[in-house]
Amino acid sequence: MDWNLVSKILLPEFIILGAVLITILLSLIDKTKKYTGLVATFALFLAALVAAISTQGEEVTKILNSAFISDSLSRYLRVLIYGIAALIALAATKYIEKFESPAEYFPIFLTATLGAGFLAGVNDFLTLFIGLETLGLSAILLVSYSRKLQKSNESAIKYLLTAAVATGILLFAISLLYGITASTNFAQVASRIVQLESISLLSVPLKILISALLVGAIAFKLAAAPFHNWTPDVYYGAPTSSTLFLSVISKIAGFAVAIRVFGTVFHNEFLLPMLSIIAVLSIIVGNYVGIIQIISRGSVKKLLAYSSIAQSGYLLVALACLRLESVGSLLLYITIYAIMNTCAFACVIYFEQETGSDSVFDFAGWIQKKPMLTIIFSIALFNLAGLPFVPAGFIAKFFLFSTSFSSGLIYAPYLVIIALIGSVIALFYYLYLAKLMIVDEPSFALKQLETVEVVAVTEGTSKCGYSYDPARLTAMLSVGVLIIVSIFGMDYLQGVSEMAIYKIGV
Amino acid sequence: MQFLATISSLPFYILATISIICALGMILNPNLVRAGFTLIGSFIGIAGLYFLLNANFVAVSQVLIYAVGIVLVIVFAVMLCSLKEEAHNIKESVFSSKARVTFAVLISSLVFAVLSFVIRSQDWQAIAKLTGAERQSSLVQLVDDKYLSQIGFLMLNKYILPFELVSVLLLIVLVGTILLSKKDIK
Amino acid sequence: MANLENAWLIALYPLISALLIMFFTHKSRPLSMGLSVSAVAIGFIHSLVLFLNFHDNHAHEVNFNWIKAGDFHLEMGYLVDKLAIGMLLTVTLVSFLVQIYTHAYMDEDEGYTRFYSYLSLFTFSMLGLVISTNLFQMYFFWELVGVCSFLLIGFWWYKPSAAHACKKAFVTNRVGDAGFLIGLMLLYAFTKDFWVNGIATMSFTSLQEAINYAIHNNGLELLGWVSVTSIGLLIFMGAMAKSAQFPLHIWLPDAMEGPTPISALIHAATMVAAGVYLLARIFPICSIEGSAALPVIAWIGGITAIFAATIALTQNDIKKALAYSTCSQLGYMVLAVGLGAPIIAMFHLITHAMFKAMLFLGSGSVILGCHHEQDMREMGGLRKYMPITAITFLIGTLSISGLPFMSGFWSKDMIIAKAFEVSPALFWIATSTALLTAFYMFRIYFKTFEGEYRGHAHPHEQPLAVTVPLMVLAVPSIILGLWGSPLLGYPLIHYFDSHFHAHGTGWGFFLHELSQPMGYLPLLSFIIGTSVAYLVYVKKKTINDKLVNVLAKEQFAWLYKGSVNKWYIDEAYEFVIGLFMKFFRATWKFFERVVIEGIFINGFAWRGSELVGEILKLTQNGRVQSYIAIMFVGLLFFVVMFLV
Repeated sequence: MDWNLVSKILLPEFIILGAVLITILLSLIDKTKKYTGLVATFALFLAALVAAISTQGEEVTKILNSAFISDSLSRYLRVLIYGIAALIALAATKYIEKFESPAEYFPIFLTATLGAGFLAGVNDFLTLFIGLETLGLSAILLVSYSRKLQKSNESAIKYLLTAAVATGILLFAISLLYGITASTNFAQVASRIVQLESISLLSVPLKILISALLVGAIAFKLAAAPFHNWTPDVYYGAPTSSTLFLSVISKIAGFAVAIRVFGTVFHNEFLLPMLSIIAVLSIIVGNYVGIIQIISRGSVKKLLAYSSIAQSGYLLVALACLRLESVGSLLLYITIYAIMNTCAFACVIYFEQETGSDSVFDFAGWIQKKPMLTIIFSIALFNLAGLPFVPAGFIAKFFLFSTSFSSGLIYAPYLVIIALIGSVIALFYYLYLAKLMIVDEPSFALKQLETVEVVAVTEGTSKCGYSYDPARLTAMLSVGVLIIVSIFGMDYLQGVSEMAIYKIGV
Repeated sequence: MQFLATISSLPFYILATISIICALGMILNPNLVRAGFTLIGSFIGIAGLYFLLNANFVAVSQVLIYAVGIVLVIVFAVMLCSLKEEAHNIKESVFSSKARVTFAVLISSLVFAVLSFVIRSQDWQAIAKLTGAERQSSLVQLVDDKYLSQIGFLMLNKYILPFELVSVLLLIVLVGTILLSKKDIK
Repeated sequence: MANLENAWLIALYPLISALLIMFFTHKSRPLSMGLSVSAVAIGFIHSLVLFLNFHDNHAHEVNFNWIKAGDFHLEMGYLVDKLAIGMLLTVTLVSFLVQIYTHAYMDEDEGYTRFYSYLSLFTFSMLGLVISTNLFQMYFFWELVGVCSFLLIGFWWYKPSAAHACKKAFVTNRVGDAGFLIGLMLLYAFTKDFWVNGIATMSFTSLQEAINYAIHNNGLELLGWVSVTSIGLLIFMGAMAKSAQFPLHIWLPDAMEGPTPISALIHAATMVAAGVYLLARIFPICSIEGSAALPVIAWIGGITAIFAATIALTQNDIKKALAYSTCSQLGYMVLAVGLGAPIIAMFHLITHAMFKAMLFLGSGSVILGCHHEQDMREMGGLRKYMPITAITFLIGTLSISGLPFMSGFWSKDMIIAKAFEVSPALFWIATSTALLTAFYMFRIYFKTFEGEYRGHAHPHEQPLAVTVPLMVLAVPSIILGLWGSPLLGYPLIHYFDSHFHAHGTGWGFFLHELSQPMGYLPLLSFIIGTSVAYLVYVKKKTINDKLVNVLAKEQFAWLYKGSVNKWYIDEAYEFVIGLFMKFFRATWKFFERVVIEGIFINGFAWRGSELVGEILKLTQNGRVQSYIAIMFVGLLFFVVMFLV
């Protein structure tokens, strides 16, 4: 085994691993509890940078007995995961201070990201399972972080129980696959299945069962209906930065696994209808309940949770078509989605820091207090809705739907039409929230804020020890990236995401 | 021949019955501590099944980790927390308990029916023949006393990445557990 | 040719300064001013270097991929040819001077730095528009320019009139831009397969080939609802709105609510000229043999010219009068394009940019001097108090009225001469407009600067930051035209168009031309217009003891009223739109009651969502047990669906 090669390829992961240890130690030393977040941010950013500039993604390399594959797709996704995770860690830095023992948040956060990073280059069912568990268990810890709040504990337990069932489902699928192929390696499993099918030894019901189990287990990670029910409760109860992590990093990792498994290992005619049904259900449920949330003036976090279910649905439409072009545009869209969602949640985090509330109603008239952030939030919402206001979201969505539409799948046009109708319905709640913030009079919570601030100033206490609020910085950074990408980089990004798929290694 | 086959598969039926009955007992027993202990019975039954399959190591692990470790933890947890106060706060479902039980039984039996149908539809013998070479070699190693060292070798060689990842996972779960259970510092 | 490769930097400098001001230096006035002014100054020098080094007759073009989706691709890039360089120089020069002027004009305003950032942003957008390589990119910057104009007209947003004016400008421009966009899409639809082989979509350099290709291969007709003519006219609609052509001119006079530097930069010199520039760029489409677009353009230009001139006669607000004069001059330019001479239009555009910017800046100086008084009835005799402003204003007036050998004379007379060749009717319209122009411009000058002061403020001359730009602009207002004149052999026009065919050059030819009707009639109209204005406003001639202008007001009361009220165009719009609205209101009411409310809301949304809601309420009940049960139901459904 060429350890040189291994250390070269897994350098970003080693950086993160090192950062895990450093942050654990730092949490013991650092009394101000301020630097662990910054260390984590820096390490993640460094990892993204290293993954981006390393040349090892150019050709397909399998390391560690083919447990991990380094190809264009894994490189792309690792850069994306680590980069976005860096932004999220930054956003969480100050937000997390209000909880008990804030410093330990980041080792857990880093491990979760590490799990997601390994899933990007997963090439073995055992790695897949362990990676998912690393991601999932760490995520449960992240969800339960504000343990004084009952809703956080409740959501953690719910997540734990449903995740355990999903893990069981996945393990059952893996064990069945092992049973018929006597291997856990992706390439061997794929070739063995082809061999079995060529002599028609593989029974059709078994194929269906394995497909259903795999789809179910992965759909759970993607928060796609009908495996989505945990999402609103968990997203609502968790600390907002953990919600952001779940809605972005977990989702990217889920799609990474889905693309690998369905694209290269286990591919049959039953998968596509299943994925399509999931996609349609997700779009309907996500958008419908999203509207109910906004009408009943529920929680913005829940609103974004349902919106992320619907977004999963759009992405699944492209996955269900399972053509190179459509999956390429899936990668493009998930990239833009990750940035947009990070931006939106960073604004929610900032709002929560200020007012301690996340109810839709309290967002009213935010523009009169924080015009810049309101505009950034609105841009993120417009992009999530797919409006060409800063055109990245629109272009990505356009590619997603157009490549799916022309993918040649018989019912792809219907899927796209449903997705389009869903987007139109989604417009309502995105724009309603934007309208609420921009047009309406400031809410009671915001008006109170002013008096609190005045008191704080008169007492001579500074509210935060940062020269610039990290959550706000995250929002500005991500919207900046969004704007730059949409003006200069869409073509480049599209090219990269397309190449990532075309050069996928098997 | 038929009789011999039945006789040889008799231990399987006994162990399977034990674990099924114990599992049912665990679900139906209203006393949580007793339910926990019946769970041990179920796990031991499954461990016996592993023994029958010559998977000694897995069987022992099953007994050590699940039957003893995990169940003990569950029992302790149940004994430690009192459910009296929270019990009142549980919202009543819109469905009656009878409806819920019926639904659960229906779903479970459907899952059972589907799984058994699907698994029986596959000709496992043929696959075993096809992939027999590897099976054979692993069976040979089973009787070998180097069996455990084989597992160790595989873990540190072929499956090094998952193995190391598990260590990271354990580390962080440890940190998280301490975090969740430690008393608030004022 | 390093300068050529970096031509896109010219547009980038102001963008950088705009961003810097917006995000960093908005607290410091001198820093913001310095950034903004130096950015545009560097841009001007860069353009000058480009001008001196660029001698190719073909365009230099660089494209970058912007959006690519299958066969559909859009490019961004920059295009340098002589036309673009001419515009670059004009825009950067005027912008530079206006920005210096702004320092004095906005000195007391709270939004000083904001104003500079907007100015820089506008300059960026305008330069981006100028160096656009294709129609899509131009459309992009076109909209950006529109947004900047909206921001700047509404700069004093707390004034209701300004808020109203910026909305009006924006909406009117939307009407034109809608036409522009439809035209673009039609054009793309017919030339779709032409752009496949790596040619930048809609690039100006291939426009002619593309349209020929569409006619021969894709059956694009010459006349009809969907034809070369209609495409040309639809794109022209965009130019109509931006260049304030009748009947979409209504926004321009109202746009004078913005600060005066803006009126000078955007609504006199550069942005409104973008329409003419666009026409010069799409000239290959309009001038296809058999297309009827050019005569329509010419007539709209001619009508605008004379129509706006008649309104300018009676306006009392100095800026409004100048605004209508701008309208009228833009009409000349559009007329020139319609007559098939886009180069002459560009010539007039450049000279007009100089003297009209100067006139507006002069009017701003007057307004400052009179303590924000814009009504000419409250002015008069200002020459004594503000000599520099008065002299430069007089130069501008002479130039626009067409005193021989001034810039405006050459460019305007070339348009009139061209009209004489093509259509007698348009020639007479253009000539009478020249007469009116001379009259109303001198009316403005005499009412403002001659006679006795009628106001109550204490007029005074303005600081150097105001007067220097005026003096600088006076130079090209006098002499720039000579380069386009037969005396020097039309070097400027040859620069733009190497194939330009002149009938003759030199003094002899000039005198010969003067002896022709197209030569002496404009000259005559200048003399008549000027002398009548002199007699009426300076000598105050009386007929039957009544001042001539008062008499005219009484005798031709209905004409006067019409002119003062801008020929009731706004009212007409209000009436027509009101009718439409009533009609739509009735139909929509029906539609909403029956279709939306009846079928969608009460049907789908209410009953339907009640149903879906009930189902979802059952599933999303907060119980983990049911969540897991639903997961298994889903799995079972998948398996059973395919097994059965």
